[in-house]
Amino acid sequence: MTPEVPIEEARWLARAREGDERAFAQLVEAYERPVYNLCYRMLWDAPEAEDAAQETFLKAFRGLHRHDPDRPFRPWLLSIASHHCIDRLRRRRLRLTSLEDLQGEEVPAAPSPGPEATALEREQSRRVQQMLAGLAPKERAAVVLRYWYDLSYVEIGQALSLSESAVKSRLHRARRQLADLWRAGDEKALAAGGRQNEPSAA
Amino acid sequence: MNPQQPERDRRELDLPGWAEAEAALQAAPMLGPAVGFSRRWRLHLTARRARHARRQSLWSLGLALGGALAALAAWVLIGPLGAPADMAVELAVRVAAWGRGLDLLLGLADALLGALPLLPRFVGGLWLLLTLGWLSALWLASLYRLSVQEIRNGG
Repeated sequence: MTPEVPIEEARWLARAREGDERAFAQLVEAYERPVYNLCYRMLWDAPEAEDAAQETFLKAFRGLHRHDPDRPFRPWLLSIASHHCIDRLRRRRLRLTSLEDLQGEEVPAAPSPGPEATALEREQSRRVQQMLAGLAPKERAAVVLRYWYDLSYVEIGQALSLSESAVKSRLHRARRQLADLWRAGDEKALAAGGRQNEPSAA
Repeated sequence: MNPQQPERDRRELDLPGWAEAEAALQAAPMLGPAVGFSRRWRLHLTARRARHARRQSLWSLGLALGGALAALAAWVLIGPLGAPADMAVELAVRVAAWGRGLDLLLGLADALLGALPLLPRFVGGLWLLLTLGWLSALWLASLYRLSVQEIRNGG
């Protein structure tokens, strides 16, 4: 079963396929948030996520002739973004950038944070990013596609060039790791809290 | 999340810490880029195209310069052997001479092939000539013997 492609989107796609840059800009506007979010969740660096999202749209514009018009555009675009981010993460690992370098990264504002965006929410966001950063690139991509985009195992497999069983096993491994990381974070917070409450030696 | 969560997902809910981790993942918002992303994308595209065009023109220029340098190097290396124009003229003359020689050979071969039907008649005439020549030689030998040798013998 193939999900229906919205009529407006199909029109933009058809025009963009003929090289209409304005029509593709409409698609960029429609998908900038999901693509950026995926890049940010993968890379945990706002300027790099912006750059990766821009590159994703450029790649999509150039490779539009490879997109099957009968298939939905969003998973195809997310697949490009995932592969691009995985490549960036591998290059980053080659440059020996340590995770600690990214620990201080401020999580960008949510769509409508308003004044109620509390310190607790920010801390929670930071913790989510720290957990994701502890996963291998493909596992991270699988988790992001599953929890933010609600893609099925088959769709995740298509996006990441993996079989359905490989997706299941990677997600299983990732969940175990995430649970461990969450517990480790709890213990660390408890230890820090305990130290804060310790009476001074003096 | 898919409402029909697979069995494995449900089992993982039993992992200590997983329920909280999953709740945090589900609560995490969809983040968006700074305002003007689409406009920046168009600028990015324009800049990329300009860079591509610049790179292509640099390549063309490099190739042209490389070709010119290669030609210059060849001229410098071959220079002691003679002027390039003279060498070219000499080569042209030689090629023309080889062409003429080849043309002559082909003409000769053509003529010989054309003369093939006359060969039997030519062979018949040759036999007649050989016979007449032989008889003439015999006649001359007889004359020599009768005249010169007889005088020498005092006859």
